[in-house]
Amino acid sequence: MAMSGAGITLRLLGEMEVLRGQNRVDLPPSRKSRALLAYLAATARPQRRERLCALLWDVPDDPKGSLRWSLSRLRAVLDDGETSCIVANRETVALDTSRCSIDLLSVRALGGGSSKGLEGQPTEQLLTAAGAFRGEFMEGLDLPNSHEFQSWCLAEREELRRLNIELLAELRRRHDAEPEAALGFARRLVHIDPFDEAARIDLLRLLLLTKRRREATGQFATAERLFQELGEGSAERLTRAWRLVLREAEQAATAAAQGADTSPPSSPSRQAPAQRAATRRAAQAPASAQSAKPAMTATTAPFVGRSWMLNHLASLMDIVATRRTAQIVLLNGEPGLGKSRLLAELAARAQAQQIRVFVGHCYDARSGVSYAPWEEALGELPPLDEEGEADLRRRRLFQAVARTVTDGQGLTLLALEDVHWMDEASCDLLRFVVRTAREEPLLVLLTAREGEVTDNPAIAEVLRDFRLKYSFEGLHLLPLGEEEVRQLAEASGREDAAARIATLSRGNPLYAVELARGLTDKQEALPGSLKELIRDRLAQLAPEAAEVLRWASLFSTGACSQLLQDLSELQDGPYLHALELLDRHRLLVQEAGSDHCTFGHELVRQAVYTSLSEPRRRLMHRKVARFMWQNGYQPKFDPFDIVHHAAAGSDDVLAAQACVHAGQRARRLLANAEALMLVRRGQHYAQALPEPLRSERLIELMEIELAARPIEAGEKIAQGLEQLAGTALDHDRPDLAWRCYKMMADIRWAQGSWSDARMDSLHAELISRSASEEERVSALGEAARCLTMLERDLEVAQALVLEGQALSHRLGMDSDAIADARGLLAAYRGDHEEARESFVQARLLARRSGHRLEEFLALSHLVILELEQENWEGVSRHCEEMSTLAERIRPGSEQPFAAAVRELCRYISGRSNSLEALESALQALRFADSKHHISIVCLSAAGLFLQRGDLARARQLAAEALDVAGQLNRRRTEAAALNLLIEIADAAGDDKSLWITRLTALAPIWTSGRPQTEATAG
Amino acid sequence: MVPVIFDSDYEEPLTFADMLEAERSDRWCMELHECSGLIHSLSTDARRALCLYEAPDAEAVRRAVDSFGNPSSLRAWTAIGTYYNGFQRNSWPWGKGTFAITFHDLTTDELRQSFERGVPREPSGDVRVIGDFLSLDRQRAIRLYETPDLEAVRRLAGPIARRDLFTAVAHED
Repeated sequence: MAMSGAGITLRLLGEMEVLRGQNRVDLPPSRKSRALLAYLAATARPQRRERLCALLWDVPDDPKGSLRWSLSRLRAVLDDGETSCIVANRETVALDTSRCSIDLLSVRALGGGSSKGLEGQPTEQLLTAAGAFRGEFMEGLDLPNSHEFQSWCLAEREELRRLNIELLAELRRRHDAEPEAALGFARRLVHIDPFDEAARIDLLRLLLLTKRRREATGQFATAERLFQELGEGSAERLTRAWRLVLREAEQAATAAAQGADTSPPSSPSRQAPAQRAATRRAAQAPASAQSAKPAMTATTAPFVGRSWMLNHLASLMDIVATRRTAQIVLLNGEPGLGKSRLLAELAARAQAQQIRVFVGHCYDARSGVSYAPWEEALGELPPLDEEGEADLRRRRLFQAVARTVTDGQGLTLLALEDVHWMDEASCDLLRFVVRTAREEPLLVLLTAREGEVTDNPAIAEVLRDFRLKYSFEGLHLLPLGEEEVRQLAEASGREDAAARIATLSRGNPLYAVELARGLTDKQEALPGSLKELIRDRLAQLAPEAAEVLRWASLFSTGACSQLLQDLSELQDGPYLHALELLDRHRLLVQEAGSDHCTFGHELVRQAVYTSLSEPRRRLMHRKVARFMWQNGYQPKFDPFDIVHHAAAGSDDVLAAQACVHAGQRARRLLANAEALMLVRRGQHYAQALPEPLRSERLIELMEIELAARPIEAGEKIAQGLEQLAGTALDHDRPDLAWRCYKMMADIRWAQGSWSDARMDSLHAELISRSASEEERVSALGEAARCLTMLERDLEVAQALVLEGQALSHRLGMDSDAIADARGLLAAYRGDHEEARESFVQARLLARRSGHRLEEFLALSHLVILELEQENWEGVSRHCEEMSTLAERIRPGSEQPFAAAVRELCRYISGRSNSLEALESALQALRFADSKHHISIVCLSAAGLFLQRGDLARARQLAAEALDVAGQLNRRRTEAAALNLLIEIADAAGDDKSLWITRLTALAPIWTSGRPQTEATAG
Repeated sequence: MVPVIFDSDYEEPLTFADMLEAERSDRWCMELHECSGLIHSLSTDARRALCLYEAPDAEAVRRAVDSFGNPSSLRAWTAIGTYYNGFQRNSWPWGKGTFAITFHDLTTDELRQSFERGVPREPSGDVRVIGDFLSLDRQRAIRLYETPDLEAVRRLAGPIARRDLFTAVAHED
């Protein structure tokens, strides 16, 4: 569809391509750079830089820098020195679509993309547009970890798929009178949407009409199997329709035979060779009909063109063994150039020399699984400690791995493949191991795809570090020369086509090997790419083998044989036959001694995978995800795998749930970066869920997020939690709301000592004893007040207050206990204004209800706040009221406390010079044995006497305050008493070191918004 | 921790079952205030309850026990314990027998002295005095006995009002 010529042509409908004139231009290897280009082209309007950063680079490391870097790579591709297709300023970036031709835009321009619009278009234009669809939009370019981009991409694919279908449907309609031509469009329609019943029936009808009965039968059999996966009677409907179509065809044939046409019906034997080939492909030919010659693949092909590099690496091993210092080698190269083969040869040589070898692989689909390559390399990770601080446990794990890798004896080879897909936790571990083994004989061989390292900031940083600090060598694999490709061609018996193979493969050994294999069977024109080559081979396979291969293509790390059989629903006989065939062709290989099957090469897997239509792929992924979920987490089923398959299957419910499990797993492994990534993904999938499921998932993800990182944006998170709690209550899920309140409390009071279980137990007990919601509010309030008055477990109190507040608000009631507790929490936080307001409110509410004791409590809290602030005016204002109120309450500590405070006021105001009255009141308080009140009064009195220079009395009272506060474990009061004793010691010129030591030994507490473990005096 | 006596009056007669049920229902509150029940007793007229706790202070008991029941009056006071006849504070529970308590108002020095003189420091029949618990202000006290026979305690204690003589049981979790 693109205009040819000297200008730039950008093709997005299929695998991405850029052409300058007729020549294909090499795209930047970075997938994010390609994605950026595609996004700018598809949206065809200026995009804000922030938007692009959020879309593609949502990690903290310099996203704008990454954007600039990508733009520079794209300019190198698109610019011709005079003009530039990229238009960028400080705010926005755009692709100048007037300077380049974009297939996607041309196709969309046809009638606005609607079927009505298509009806008026000339057939020639429709044909050209249909021809522009070489595959799905941005085929093979997925960024599963950039979920916003991925969502956009999937939506675009869906829209374009629909447009493609409309195009083909219109063309099919226009060629109704030409069955042969119509058949082509019908085939494509079925390929795009294999589950469209109408399209299937139409194809079957056309096949019968064009005398392709055997192919029709094969198509029906394939469709029947597929539709059984759909369920809901689809297969039965298809069968009925097929019978009808058959009957119609037979009737037509009978009518034709009885009619004027005397020419014999077309039979397979009289079909054109091309038709016979097509029929043969559609037939369920037994495996033996396929070529029996064992296939040569890149892994079994002769090792050509890399001997010098292998020898170089082997000599590096000798150097490392002699020098006994670590060496790092990074092997770069395009896919298919032979990095894995080189690594395998080196590993084999090392093992033959009794050198310890560890090999691990990184995979795109598993880039979120923490430590996956290490687990593979070591067999299993050392066990993680259950107890202790997270950082310490992580460090111990790293040390254990480092010890395993380097035993301090001989040389070790550690090989990690495709590190551009390495997860962040594994990067940290790699850095640690290399640092630890700096003076050990360790050769670290890393392989990466050219240019894709920059898409992974974690590994990019590690490699930068290695380059600067260690003995580091970067090697680049180049394409093979013509002579070397000839050797490969000769090895496959295709020396006659060696020149052609060399030209087409451009020195890529994988392509050369597959091309040689392809040439052996095919007589037709050579495929334009490795992908086409693989797809041609796929088309020639027996249906069962092709089916197994398609299922296997969903697993980038390979899959266990039993799983493949379960998914393909084949009986033992046909399944084993299929496996044997695939193994013989080295398409799918079963590892020796295990039931694990892997593709010969990742590119082969990708070729098979992308041959699947989008709807089919989605359905298959969904089936895999559900199968894994239902069968539980076995060692081979990682929750992250379920995330991958559920997301690819558009199963948001399962994807969100799996993100929770995978995030919890990452947390257990202390891989916080991966946990946070999974939280973000899970939040994205959860948005599509109905309530209350959505809230439930978001709450679970929030719990993981809070555990995975320190609270940076506490208030913002707390607001989000409050909203979630409200939604949960709206949907009658108080259990979910409670979890929100606990988290909100945790954000505020990060040093809580209550375990979750104990908190839940208290909460459950409070709820169970409440017959009504009003009682529940009271119970929550009382419990919160109890805790706050005891000055302990403040995070529990906070959670109870939050829940009580929310409930009381909904019921339109107020609770003095909640207000009182809220005031105490505010006071502990240092928010005195809020504390005062809350105490005043609590007092008012208690008075209205006639609860004198509660009224006294609120008033006494207000007075204590004023005492602590040394606001004597405030104290005086309230102390007479307090005394009056205390007299109306049952005997306890209230009267003596009120009396003692009143005497303090009188003493300070000069209305009394008598210490006896104060002492008498204090003694009554001692008899009442309310130690907290005693400490408050003693502390205030001590402060007074200090001001008046009576140091002895001040010291005695402060010491008593310290003693009683210590008996109650009131650390805040203890700290205040110690501060005062330090002041007194300063004033007296005494040694204060004892008090300072005791103050420092107190656990940090929060008072007035700052820790009180530092001496505030002297 | 200190011994704290919680003394409450009720308009309607109570039973031990009522008392223990009320306490059990607020177990979490007691635990929160670090109050441990030791002895629970009911007066012979069943309208007065007297319980011995171990707690950080009397205020803790007031806060914890304040949360339940509807007494017409109540008092909580910290006591100083003195133990006799081989009983020790640390050896709680003090046997599996039944207990009795006598309450003594000590509003005058004479009463106080009489109380202190009258302590039987040897077992008398089946009655053994476990200890005395005197309030901090020395205005009141209770005496705790181990005995299967309330009448024997009545005879030992001398004239005593029904509301000042209690049958007691040990606390059970």
